Amino acid sequence: MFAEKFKRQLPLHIMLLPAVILVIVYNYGPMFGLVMAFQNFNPAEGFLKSEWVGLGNFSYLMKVGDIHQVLWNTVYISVMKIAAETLAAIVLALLLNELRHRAYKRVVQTVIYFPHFLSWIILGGIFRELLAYDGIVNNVLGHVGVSPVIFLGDNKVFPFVLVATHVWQQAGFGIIVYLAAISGINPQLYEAAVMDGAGRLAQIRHITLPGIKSIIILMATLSLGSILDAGFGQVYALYGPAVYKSGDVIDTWVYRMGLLDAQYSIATAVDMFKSVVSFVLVSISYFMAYKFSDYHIF
Amino acid sequence: MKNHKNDRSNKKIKNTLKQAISCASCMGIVLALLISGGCGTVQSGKEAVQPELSGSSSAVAENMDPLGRYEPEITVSMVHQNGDQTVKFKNGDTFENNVFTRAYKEMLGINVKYLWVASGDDEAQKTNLMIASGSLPDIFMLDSLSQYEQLVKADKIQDLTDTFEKYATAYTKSIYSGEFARELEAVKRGGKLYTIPWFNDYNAIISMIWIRSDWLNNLNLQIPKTGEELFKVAEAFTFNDPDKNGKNDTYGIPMDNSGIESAFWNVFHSYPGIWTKDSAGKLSYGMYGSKEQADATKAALLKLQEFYKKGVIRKDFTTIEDAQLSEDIISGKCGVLFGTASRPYFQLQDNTKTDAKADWIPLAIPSLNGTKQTISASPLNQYGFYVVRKGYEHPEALVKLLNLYNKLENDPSTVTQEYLDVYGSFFKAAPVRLYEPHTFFNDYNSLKSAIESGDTAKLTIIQKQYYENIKAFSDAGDKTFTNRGNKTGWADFKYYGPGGAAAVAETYNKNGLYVYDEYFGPPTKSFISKQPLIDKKWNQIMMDIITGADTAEFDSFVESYGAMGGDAIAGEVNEWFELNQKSN
Repeated sequence: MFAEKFKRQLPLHIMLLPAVILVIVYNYGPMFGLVMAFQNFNPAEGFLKSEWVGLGNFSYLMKVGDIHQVLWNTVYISVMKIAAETLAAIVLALLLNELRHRAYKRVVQTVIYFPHFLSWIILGGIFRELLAYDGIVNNVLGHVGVSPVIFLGDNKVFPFVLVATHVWQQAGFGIIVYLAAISGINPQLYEAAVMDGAGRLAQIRHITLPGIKSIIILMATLSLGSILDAGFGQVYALYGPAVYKSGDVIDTWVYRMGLLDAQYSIATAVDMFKSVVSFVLVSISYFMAYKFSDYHIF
Repeated sequence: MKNHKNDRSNKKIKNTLKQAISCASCMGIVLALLISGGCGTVQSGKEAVQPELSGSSSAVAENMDPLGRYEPEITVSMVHQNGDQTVKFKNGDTFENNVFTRAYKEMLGINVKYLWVASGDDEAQKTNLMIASGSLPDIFMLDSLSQYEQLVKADKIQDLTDTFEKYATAYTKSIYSGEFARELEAVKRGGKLYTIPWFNDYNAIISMIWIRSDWLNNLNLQIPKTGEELFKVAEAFTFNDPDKNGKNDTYGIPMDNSGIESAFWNVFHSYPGIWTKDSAGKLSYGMYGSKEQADATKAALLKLQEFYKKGVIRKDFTTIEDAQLSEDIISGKCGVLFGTASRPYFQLQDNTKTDAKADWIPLAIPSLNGTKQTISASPLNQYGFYVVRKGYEHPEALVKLLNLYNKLENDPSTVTQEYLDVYGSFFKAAPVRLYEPHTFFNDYNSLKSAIESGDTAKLTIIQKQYYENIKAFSDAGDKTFTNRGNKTGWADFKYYGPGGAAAVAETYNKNGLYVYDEYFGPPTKSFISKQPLIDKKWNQIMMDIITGADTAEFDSFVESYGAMGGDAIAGEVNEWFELNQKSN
């Protein structure tokens, strides 16, 4: 029985093979590298000969205290990003849904969708110019009597710059899901509501929003798993030493420590910590997604 | 022009366009680490292509002529670690094919093959990865003693003691003679030499202050003699329109997001990057290792904070990088540069090219409250460490390349014009270079008497070139000379000429103003693993305080410095210091 089934599905298995190999090589293979977190890793000596320090790297990290700040930054920025992006996407989706002119709607959607395709290396250069001390934004602010803000160098402002630019870039992409969900709502509900005398706002409030509620919850819970990815590319393109305090997230910290300063052990320890926490969060988010929206992967 | 100025120690030219690091490449790196470690040592011999050598290798090895040619030719895999845009190639030359590679081939029978060409941050990252992945080229340079330490410990690079002894020319050996014998001693491990270090006389790039003298004249200000006067000048340059263009568009002190250089800290007797002896006779870190040093640093921080508040420093210095800083200097936005002796060859020269009226003079670093002037100095002043991977059959090729470089560029008795004036940019086209450390004050004195007497008979060919540049500039008073090709008239004048950087360095020596780095042992175990984090923290604290945070933040940093690894490092450093003192 099994053999027969396997034979029948053999072409499918073969087609799947490259993907499986890639995952093993790039996702599972490097896991052995985690051993570095417990060593005083000397790259020239490799894993086998490097000195074993057990949990030494972790306790050193606790002593230095950087990790608390970096972890807090990551969660803080990430949560704000998720909340702002979700909110912006819902509002935009609702507004777009109300547009009657099809061509105009398409154009608007494409325009706000477009930034999603731009790399942060390009966007970083653009925002650095726009948000410079003598840049356009400060120029405009100057005309309305606001003193110039050092957007990319002020610890109080920087996290919000990250959130704002992230929303600008990603909200368009988020709209797609919500628009699809809205189009799935039974039109008869709207007709009935109109009969009952409901206006536009009342329709949104009593039909559209409840109709996409489960999708909203699903999207929010799923993003829980990525809460420790605060967006490496974006932060890396915009931050600088002045805002390490408020803008340094786990990924950028690990990048600087590991690749620039060659502190492989310390960097791996932090990344491993991130992986473990992320694993827990992903598990929780899938459990919740299953519970609230009957969403499952397996 | 000539090579007495260090181009590496000047702040690294960072790529303004930061490199995109995709997730995939990070994975690849981890994988590379995994493979190199997991499978033991992978020495990829395939890079070192050895055409038809098997039969004649013994014959080649027998040829002990320091500049002898390989017959048949050999191919050496290398990396080019100074490959930046400042090299101005001519006639379609490239890093792979230029006067140096052709000389290597014609004179030594060595074909150089580069695995990569990079510079600045990019180079640092590539070098780190190269070490981590274990696929080392035959001959390469290490950027730091920490890397050297790791590779020696892992037995990945060759013992060059005998090779150097046998193959170095008398001239090459003379570079490491006299007081500079300490350079080889400092890198010996267990009595063996695993690298040939690249260094220069620290006097050649010593810290000093450069100031816009035309601005001083515009404002009728005297050349500042004390720290107090200097800071007044910095404020005057900010508020009194020194360029007389009627606009408030200048400021005093240029500074970018990497902070400010030693020259500023030294005014306050704070000494970045070196270990000094404290009152108890122990070595402590020159910026915050002891109470005394921490107080000095705090005073300096408070001054910077005050300057920031007043606008003497750019309000957005925390977000600008050194490329932008250079732009400010070149376009005449600021006038008090805390820098090093070699600055005329960089942004200052460009400033005089764009503004014919602009002129800069070097000042000895002053002090405050009438205290003794002090200038911090690291006697070793190393820039890089040339090494040969373990197992490479021609370790002498490195020595030969250096011999040839010296013959073409350093040794006055063999240097010819053909190789002296190529590409500008201190011969960065060559993958391995050495500086001649003994000549800094020699050149200065010879040039001085030649300028006074007009008699050039005693000048070497290298000195003559300086002389002609200086003359062409000073006689004509003509800055346009600097604009012609690679000519550096103004810069040479400011470096070696009367009242130039060399003259300032001379007064430092004469008056015994140096505070030396007392530690020159190998980087300690704790230093390698703990210092990067401490540096990070310090950078952040510095930024915070300059932009207005309370100095309590600095106090708590100093307090926790010991626990972050400072105590362990200081312990190891002092252990070395005691041993070393006893053996002397």
